[in-house]
Amino acid sequence: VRDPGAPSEAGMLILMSLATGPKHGYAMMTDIKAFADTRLGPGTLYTALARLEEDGLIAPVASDDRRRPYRITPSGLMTLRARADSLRRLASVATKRLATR
Amino acid sequence: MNPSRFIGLYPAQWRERYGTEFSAHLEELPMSPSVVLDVVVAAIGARRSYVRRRFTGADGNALLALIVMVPSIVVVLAFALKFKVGVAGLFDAMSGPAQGIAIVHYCLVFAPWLSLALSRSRTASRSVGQIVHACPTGCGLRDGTRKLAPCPTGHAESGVSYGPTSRADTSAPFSSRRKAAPLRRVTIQHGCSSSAEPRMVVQTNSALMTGSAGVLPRAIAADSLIGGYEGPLLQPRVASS
Repeated sequence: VRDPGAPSEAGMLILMSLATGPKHGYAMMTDIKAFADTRLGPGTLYTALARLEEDGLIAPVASDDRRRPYRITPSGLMTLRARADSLRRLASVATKRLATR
Repeated sequence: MNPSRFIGLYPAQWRERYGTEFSAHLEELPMSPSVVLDVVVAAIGARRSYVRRRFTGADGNALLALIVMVPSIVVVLAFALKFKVGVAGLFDAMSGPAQGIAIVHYCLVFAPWLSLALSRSRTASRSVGQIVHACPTGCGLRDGTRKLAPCPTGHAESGVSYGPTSRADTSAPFSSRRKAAPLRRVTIQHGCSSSAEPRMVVQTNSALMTGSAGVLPRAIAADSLIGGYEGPLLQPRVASS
């Protein structure tokens, strides 16, 4: 059962993108396209941003620009680290099981 | 096509918070059917989310109870018209086809009161506050939609939306199943340190409590808090990861 408080896939991609520093929406989108080959639509992106902000995983950075940058919070880092560990474990199991075939 | 036109599809609260930057974001994108579809679908989702929130929480339950109460009132009025005033038309029209299922009437009469009772029980057991890890040093208190205390370091001022607490929150909510008076004011004497585990010193009406932000809220739950935010604060620093 999925944890209702866990970020969506789009949310995780955003957290990954922000792990390298604050970015605004368009920069996140191009970054995600570069490292995940996934194009997040503007609606999907902002839905995920709003959810992450509400959950305290990201926070806006003060800016005079209309394009507001966001940064990852310590809670966001913890969440990202936990998800990365979980994925690493799963990948390890998958690799081992594939090796037996 | 003017991208700003799509902003109107979103709920007013959403537009107020994200409208400007979303509009700027849309202006940077080449408009295509997939972009339009994505925005429209997301807008529908946002509206659905806001409606759902509207009907959750204490206010939402009361509103729901009022809506349910409407048919109940109609039944009672029709009953009164027939047996007190002698105008039988409405009651007969209703009771004719439904005679065999009189229980429907009882449901209509009692459902809103049941709803109100449920509403009150949910209100009594909902979270009375939460520590929100939203600033680099991790603090800021909220109670439902109301902000109780500013983030001592000021970071949460721009970083947290104080939304409903119905969703699971991993940041140690201090809730109580017992009927507790809502938290009103909180004294945070020191926000937190620069350590990875935020620490707080909180003055309540009976004790000065020191502890980590993850543990202290449970202690706070057992108390009602007094006072307002007071400084000075430790200098905020981003927790080392």
